[in-house]
Amino acid sequence: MSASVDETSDAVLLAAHVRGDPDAFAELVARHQDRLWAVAVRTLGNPDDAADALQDAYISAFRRAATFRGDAKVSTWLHRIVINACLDRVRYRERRRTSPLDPADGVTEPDDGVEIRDAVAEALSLINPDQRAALILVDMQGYSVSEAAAMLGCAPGTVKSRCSRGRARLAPLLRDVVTP
Amino acid sequence: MSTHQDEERVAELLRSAPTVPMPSEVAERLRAVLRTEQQNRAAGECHRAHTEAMIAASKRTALGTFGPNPINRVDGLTTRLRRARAIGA
Repeated sequence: MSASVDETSDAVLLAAHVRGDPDAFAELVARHQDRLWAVAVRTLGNPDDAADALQDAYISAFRRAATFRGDAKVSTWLHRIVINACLDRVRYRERRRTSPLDPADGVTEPDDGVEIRDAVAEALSLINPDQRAALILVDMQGYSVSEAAAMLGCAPGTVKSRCSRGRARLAPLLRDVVTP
Repeated sequence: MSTHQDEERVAELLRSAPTVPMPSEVAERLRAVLRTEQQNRAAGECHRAHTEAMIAASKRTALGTFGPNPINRVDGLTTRLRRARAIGA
């Protein structure tokens, strides 16, 4: 099966990096970069912050590769590091919250997909970061509850309740988009 | 609309939100960061290997053998020769 071959290759690449292969880590993260980017940009709602968080996460994973115990998939481990970097940045930003200079600056684009994306991004930014991360992984990225639990470092039941509460919070915020 | 239906519709909407691939400039920036990390690691490993070699070599002198000391790189005694003090000079 291709998924298991990929995962085996991920583990092989990580082991090669730990042994000193200079190209293995870059190849490993390149495989997952679009998914990691989607998680980061959706969690933070801002491409600049997402790029900074990914940079922190990549450096952290690069240096801590030898501590990977192999209990989870390599991709799960990478996601967990990225999510932690994003949540750290969210918390830091909340402590230093500032008002935007011009809130009316947003430009609405006619494309439906872009409108949905923007509406979802704005609504997500208004809910609890832990609930946001759970919803991004389960509903938007399509990971199972158990995979998301491994990435978030909590119990599957916690992920389920965060998703449920997050959706309940989002429902009134997205009423205009959700209503057919 | 019941709460359960609300949640279902929100989940469906989240699933339908389009994703954007990583922009090429971000990908290039991250590649550059990893290249720098790799260079730092290589330099660090060279330094560590050099230190380990020095420590291993220092045992040789600690055992009482002669020859150049790799720790302080003194390879001869000529610069450290003391002249005998002339008594009464």
